[in-house]
Amino acid sequence: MNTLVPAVETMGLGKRYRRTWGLQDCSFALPQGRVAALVGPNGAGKSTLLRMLAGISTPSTGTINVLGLSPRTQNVEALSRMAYLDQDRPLYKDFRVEELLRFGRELNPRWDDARARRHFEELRIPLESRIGRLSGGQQAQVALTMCLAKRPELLLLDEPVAALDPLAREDLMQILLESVVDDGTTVLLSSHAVADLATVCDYVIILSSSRVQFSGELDHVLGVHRLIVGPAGTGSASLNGATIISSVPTGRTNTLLVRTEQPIIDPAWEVLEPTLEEIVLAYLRADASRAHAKGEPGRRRRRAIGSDISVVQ
Amino acid sequence: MTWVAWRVQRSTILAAIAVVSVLALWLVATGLVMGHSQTWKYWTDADVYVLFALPGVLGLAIGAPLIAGESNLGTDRLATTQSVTRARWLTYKLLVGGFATAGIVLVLTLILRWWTGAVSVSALTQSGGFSGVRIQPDAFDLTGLVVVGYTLFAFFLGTALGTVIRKPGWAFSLGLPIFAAARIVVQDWLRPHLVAPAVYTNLMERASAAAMNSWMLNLALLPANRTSPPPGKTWAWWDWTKSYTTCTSQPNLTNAEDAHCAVLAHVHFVFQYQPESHYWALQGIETAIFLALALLLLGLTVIKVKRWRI
Repeated sequence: MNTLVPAVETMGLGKRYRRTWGLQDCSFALPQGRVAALVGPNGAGKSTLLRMLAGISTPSTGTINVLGLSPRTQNVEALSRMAYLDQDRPLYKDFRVEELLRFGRELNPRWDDARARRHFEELRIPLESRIGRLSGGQQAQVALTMCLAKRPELLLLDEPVAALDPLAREDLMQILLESVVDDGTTVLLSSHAVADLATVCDYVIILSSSRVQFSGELDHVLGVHRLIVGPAGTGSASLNGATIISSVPTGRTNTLLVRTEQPIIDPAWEVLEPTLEEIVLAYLRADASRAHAKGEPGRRRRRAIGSDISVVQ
Repeated sequence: MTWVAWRVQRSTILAAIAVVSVLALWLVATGLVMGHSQTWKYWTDADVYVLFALPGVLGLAIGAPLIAGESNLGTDRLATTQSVTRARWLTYKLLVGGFATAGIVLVLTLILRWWTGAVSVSALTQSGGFSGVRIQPDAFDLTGLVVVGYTLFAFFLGTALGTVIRKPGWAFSLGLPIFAAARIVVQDWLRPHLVAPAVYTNLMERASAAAMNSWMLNLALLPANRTSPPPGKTWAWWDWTKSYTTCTSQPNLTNAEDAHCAVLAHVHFVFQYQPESHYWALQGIETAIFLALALLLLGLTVIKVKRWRI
C-alpha cells in the first residue's frame, strides 16, 4: 500500500458529550510504521479518540482518515485492516481459548491462526481453558493476541498494560513489539504510565484537557525540550524566545521546562536534557495550573488532573 | 458466522429448552391423568395462565439479551471491531435466535394441540374449568400458528427493547407488560371482527348446537328485522318492549307460548358468534398481525444497530 498515506490523520476532530467536550479540535497525522504513544491524564480524551478511530464512536466535528479510509463510510475495509483493543479488554468469558480462536477465524478474512496458536503456546495458555478462569494478565495477552492475529496494518490499543504487574507488562510489550517489527504495523497505544512507553515508542502525542498539546517524533520531542535550572528570580529574558511549558520553584532554585529550537547560552541556567516522562509531566502540570488559574473546567476536573499527576510522579 | 452466533447465544437457548422441556413433561403428565381425577381441573386452570405468558417469556428471554447482553458485557466492542459489517453480525444473530425460538415453540405447540384435546374431553364432563373448544379464547391461544406468531413477536420485541435500552434485564421486564397488552388488545378488540362473525336467530333465548360449540361474542333481543343492534346502540341494548315483557311474565310459560310472545312483539334473539369453521382464518390473520408487528420491531433494531455506538 501507499506508504505516503498517514496511518491516522485527523482534522479538527471533536467529540461532544451532553455538556462537555470529550475531545476538541484534535488534529494530527501519524505516519505509517510508527509506534506512537498517546499520553495524558484520565479523562483527557484518549479513549474517546481511539474509539472514534476504531469506528465505534461517531465524531461530533472534524474528519478521520484511517489508512486513507473513513472508518464511518468504508467501515468493513477499515475494520479488516486495523485492530482495536478496548481498555476493558472485553472477551467472551465463557468461551474456551480455542473457541475464541474460531470466533476470530470466522469473523476475519486475514486471520493468522498459526500466529495466535504460537503466542498461546509461548505464553503457556492452554487452548482448552475458559477465558474467565485465566488471570488478568493472561486475559490481557489473549485480548492482544486477538488483535495481532488479525494481521492489522494499524493497531489501536487503549491502555493495554493498565492493571498488570511489571512482569506481565514486560511480557505483553515484548509480544507486541516482536509482532509489530515483523509486519511493520503502525501502533497507537494510550497509557498514563509514561515510563513504560519511553523505551518502545518512537512517536508521541500528548493529550490533555481534551486537546492535543504536542505531537511528533520522539527524537524531535526530546530535541526541542530542555529542562533548565537557575536561581529563583532569574529573568526569562535570556531564554532566547523559548516557550516556558512549566515552572517549578524548588527552594532557592527554579526548574523550568522549555520548548526551544535555539540553544540556551545564558550561564545562569543549567541546561539538562529531559526524559519523556518529565516532558509529559510538564505538559500535564501546565494544564493543571491553567485550569486552576481560569477556575475551569470545574472543581471536579481539576481534582482529577491533580490526582493523576501524583500517579505519574 | 453461524457458529459464532450460536456459541454466544447457546446458554440462553439451552436454558429455554430446559424450561420448556420441564413444562412439556408436566403437560404430558396432566394430559394423561386428566380424565380420572376432578382435582386436576384446577391444575389445568393454572396451566392455562402459565401458557398465556409462556410465548412472551420465551421470546423475550432469547430476544432481550441478543444485543443488550453483548452491550452489558462489553463484548459488542469486540464483535463490532472484527472484519464484518454490523448488518451481517445482526443478521446471523437474529437468524440463530429467531429459528431457535420458533423451533422451540413449534414443538411446544404440537404438544399443546394434543394436550388441549386430552384436557377438553374430560373438562366437558366437569363443571366449569377449561373448555378446550379451540375457537374459544384460551384454547385458541394455545394451539395453532398464533403461538409461533406471539413468540416471534416477543423475540423481536426483546431485541428491539434491548437495542434501545441496552440492559437485558430492563428490556425483559419492560417487554412483558407490552407483550401482555398487545395480546389482550388483539384478543378482546380485534379478533372478534377479523372475520365477519356468524349469526343465529331464535325466538327463544336458546342457542343452536353449532353456536354452543363456538366462540359466543354477543347475544341480544333485537327487533325482528335486525341481526345487529340499531345504529347508536351496543349489544348491551335489548329491545324490552312492554308487550313482550308482560307476555312472558306469566307463570308456567311453555316453549310455544314463549316463542309466540316474541312473534307478537316483533322481536327475536340474536346470537353473534365465531364458528369453529373460522378457526384457521382467524389463526392466519392474527398470526400475520403479530408477524407484522415483529417486522416493525426488526426494522427498529436494524436502524439502531447500524447506528450503534459505544
